[in-house]
Amino acid sequence: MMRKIVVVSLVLGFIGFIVCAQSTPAERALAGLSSLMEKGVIKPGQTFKIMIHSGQRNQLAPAVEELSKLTGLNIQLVVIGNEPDIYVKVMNEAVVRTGEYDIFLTFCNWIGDMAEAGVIVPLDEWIAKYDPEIDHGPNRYVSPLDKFTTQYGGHYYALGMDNDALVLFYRKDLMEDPSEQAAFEARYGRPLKLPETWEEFDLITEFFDRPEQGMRGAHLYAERVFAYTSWAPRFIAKGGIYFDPYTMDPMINSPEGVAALEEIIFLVRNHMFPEAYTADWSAAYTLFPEGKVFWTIAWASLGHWASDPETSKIAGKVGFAQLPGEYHDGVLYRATPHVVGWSFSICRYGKAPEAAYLIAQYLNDPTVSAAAITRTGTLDPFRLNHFQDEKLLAAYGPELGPVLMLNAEQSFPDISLRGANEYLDVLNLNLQAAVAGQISAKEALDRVAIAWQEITDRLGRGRQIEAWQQEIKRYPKHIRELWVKLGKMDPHTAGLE
Amino acid sequence: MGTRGGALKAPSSQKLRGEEIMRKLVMIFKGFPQFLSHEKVFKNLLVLPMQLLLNFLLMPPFAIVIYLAFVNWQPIFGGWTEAPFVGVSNFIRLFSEARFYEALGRTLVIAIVAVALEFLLGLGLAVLFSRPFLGRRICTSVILYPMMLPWVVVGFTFYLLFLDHGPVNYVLSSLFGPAGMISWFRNPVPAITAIIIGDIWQWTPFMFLIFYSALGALPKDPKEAAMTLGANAWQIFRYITFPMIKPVAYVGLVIRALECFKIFDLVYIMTGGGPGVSTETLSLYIYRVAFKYGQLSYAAAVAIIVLLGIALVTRIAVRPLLKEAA
Amino acid sequence: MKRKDIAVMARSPVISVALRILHRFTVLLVVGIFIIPAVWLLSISFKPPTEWQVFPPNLIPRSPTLDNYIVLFKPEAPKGTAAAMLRVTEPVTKSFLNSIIVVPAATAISVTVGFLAAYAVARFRIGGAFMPFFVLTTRMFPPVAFAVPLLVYYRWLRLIDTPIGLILIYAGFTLAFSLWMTKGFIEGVPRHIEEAAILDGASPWRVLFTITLPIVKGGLAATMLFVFILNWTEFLYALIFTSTKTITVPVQLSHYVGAVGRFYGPQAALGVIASIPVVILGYMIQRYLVTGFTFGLIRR
Repeated sequence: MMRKIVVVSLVLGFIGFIVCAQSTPAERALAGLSSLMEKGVIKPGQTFKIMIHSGQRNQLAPAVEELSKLTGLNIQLVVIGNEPDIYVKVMNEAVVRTGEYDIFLTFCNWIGDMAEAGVIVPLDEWIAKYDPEIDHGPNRYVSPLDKFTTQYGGHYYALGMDNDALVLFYRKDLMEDPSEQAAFEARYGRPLKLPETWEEFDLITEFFDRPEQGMRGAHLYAERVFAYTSWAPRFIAKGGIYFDPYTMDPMINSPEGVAALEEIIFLVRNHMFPEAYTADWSAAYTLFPEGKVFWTIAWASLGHWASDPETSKIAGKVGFAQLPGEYHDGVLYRATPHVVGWSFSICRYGKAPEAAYLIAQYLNDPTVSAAAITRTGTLDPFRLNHFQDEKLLAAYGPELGPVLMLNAEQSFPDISLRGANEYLDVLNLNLQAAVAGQISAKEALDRVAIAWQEITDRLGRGRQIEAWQQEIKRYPKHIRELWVKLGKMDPHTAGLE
Repeated sequence: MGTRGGALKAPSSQKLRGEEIMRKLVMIFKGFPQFLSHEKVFKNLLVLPMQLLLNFLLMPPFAIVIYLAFVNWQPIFGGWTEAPFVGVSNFIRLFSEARFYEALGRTLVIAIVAVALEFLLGLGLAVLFSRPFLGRRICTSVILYPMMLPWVVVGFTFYLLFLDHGPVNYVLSSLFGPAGMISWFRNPVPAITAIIIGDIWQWTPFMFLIFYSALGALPKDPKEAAMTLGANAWQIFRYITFPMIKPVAYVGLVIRALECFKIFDLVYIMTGGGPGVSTETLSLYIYRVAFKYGQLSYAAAVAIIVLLGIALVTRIAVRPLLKEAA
Repeated sequence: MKRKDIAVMARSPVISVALRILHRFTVLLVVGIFIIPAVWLLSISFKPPTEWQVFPPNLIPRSPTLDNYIVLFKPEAPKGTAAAMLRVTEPVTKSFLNSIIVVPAATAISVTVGFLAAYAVARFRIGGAFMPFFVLTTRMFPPVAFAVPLLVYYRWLRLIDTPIGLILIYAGFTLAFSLWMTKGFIEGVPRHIEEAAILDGASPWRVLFTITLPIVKGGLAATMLFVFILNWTEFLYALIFTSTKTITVPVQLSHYVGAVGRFYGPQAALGVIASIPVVILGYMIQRYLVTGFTFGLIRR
């Protein structure tokens, strides 16, 4: 008898230990929600509204329905069409505080503005308590996304839900064609292979620019909203940095910046369709699957679109690659822009922010998010387990997965300070003006520098310096090492010691 | 009512008071329509709903706008009631902002060109349609259609039409060969031309509607009289028809000009104000400053200056309308 | 420039016929040009995503589809990669219902209030030169800069995301049109007609409703149509002042955006469908637009 009790308790204890040790963020979220319900903080049938972009509805709707059933709450998705409108509505909520929304799904570089406006709450306490497994465990976020999709000014404000590191999509059939390889080698004296440096990229673009066959070399973004995504990776890989880490003086008009912009201008003028700067960003999703350009750099969603015979003329001929970089002292430094990237933040004026946080944590759970991302939409894989999930990889294309992960690991964030939209918009409009030939590259970047100084002064230089120094530490390690190597900052400021 | 002798006074004193009241009520009741028809009451009553609505709806927010223009506030600074007072510094900033002046100039050009063309086209179309013909109603519906579409839809329709690889260039290249293709959004001049074409398509129906209804309401007698006197078509139009529709035409012109000055959707969707800011109109500039940069105080100051400017110009332009007795 | 007067003056029958043919031809030409973008829009609404920006462009879709229309009402229905991407929002029925409630109400209020006030202004010069002009200034202020202050006010009034709130905004902001357009038409009515009725003993109310109103019916119809269109297609304030309950058709239209950009197909389809009520309205009021009158009818 005694032995039975001991055995049973051991077994139960063991099971209990396994359950606790292996509980998932989703389970902890559910446990938290039911505990809140017991305490009367939230009631069955209570409504929670999540403000999302229309592109995520297909992905999140089933998960939200499931969660509503599990908890007895009424969780709704409120859809907004234009991304800038989401910013407008969140900022309006900061002013009028209606409490209409509980959770926002927004660009992660808006977190600075939203936190400063007081409309979202810091999440440090709840993250410590409920552990969504952001930066530890086998299912953690791909680093460094865990930092720049979640933090601002040294605190957690968001749960990242997306991976918007850009990917280089190219025509594999042409790249691996022996006759093309022979011709390339004959012309340039080096083998045709995936580029390691931007110089190689430009050469290959020139080689595959065949207007008489109706195909141009490349399609890169140079238009009103995303021109900076073509310029920034070159700039950063050359060792550039947006602002001086000690004085916040803009450094985009340094020689690296001007060189990067001149490279882009040259490419657009000579080897691209003018759509690169006259059409909006969806042009990549038309030109590349039609076979009209050799390669393009865009979001991961293009992979799916270009590989599906229903939507693409080049299905089966698409390859995925890392973005190139630059060599410094014999070491290759690649840099990929992480552009946009959606993350959940919690509205301060909702009726039950802690419950709202738990809902977000549930949706952010490794398994739940994997299922969500497998469905078509704008959210892309961001946790390590996503990249092992068979269904998800099948949906994206098994070859895209590893490349996306590599690019994510080398990615750097958009400017995420207070006033991020202002900084980026001014940068972008001047880049586009330079590409369109209205002003020279140097002139354009000088104007940006002047405008940026004015913005920084207006917003308060001291606080911007502090925030920028925090942001520097969120850049990937190799970039920070490059900055130290080039003498742009000391190792301590770079967070390397 | 006369008295019926003292003997009846006691019980009928109540009746008398009742009759007094009844009499007074009937007088008021009979007099009420007269009261209402009294000119002063009449005209003020007519205007009352409008004044209530406008004052109730628009005055308090406008007060907030003025407040915002004199403080330094953005949502990322905190609450709007705690914003620091900065006097006229928003206005000073505005007067040295080149981007504002460029947007202003551009918008003026677009408005003048587009409205002038819409005026002429609308008038011409209305005259063309003024006499009944088979299928007139359907043709009128077609002409009116563009203004009935949501503005976003008009915007992206023209964006797609004028794309480098869009239908317009396809037609141009079929007619003139590949050299005939124009890259519409590459430079401000072709871009603004495309935008003006879009605006003309969308809003000529408005001028057409105005002229069409004005022409339709005209009395036939003066025209017939002139005809019997031997006047030709052009004389009748110039000396009889046109003067009679002038008030409506002028109102339509002013209204259209005011609206065109605020052009936004077409520009936002077709070029986003680009390349750079070379097609940015005033509305787009204010939108960007207010909603993308979050500078609501500065935007309020800009808006107030724009209001004062337009009001000044319109006041002068509209003077004949205000003076003219029917 | 197409300033042509019609062949009523021609004395010779031959010229009369020739001019008539020329007239018909011009009408057809103009109508043909005007209809081109609308036809292109219709064409897009039947195309799958791969054909929205294709070159060389084709008017007739290569693989025509009804998915763009179906997805508006049944987001889950269309199948396939492209179609799955279009599942971005709820069905359009709610937004249509909201638009059909809010817009006619706002238009009716605006035109009625504006017409009454216009009569007072036109005939009695009430408010002098200042008041009507002041009303016009409501159209001079950039709406964007007014949005947040109005939002703050509406928060205090608890009118955000309510039909009444939107109706009031739409009525208030179109009042300037109603006032000025009807004022113009009223001023086109010869005063002596009204004066004759007054001399005959009619009250001002009777003059307004039985004399002036029938004459300006056309102008009122045109004003009503225009105000209706403005309200029906308005987007910015509909977006800012509604969140879930009261979204209108233009806001719903903005939802059709996603991973590959703007969904031109469904937006074109919804644009076409949304314009149908307005087209019907426009057709119906045409009857009122062409009632001429002769003095002979009024003279006793």
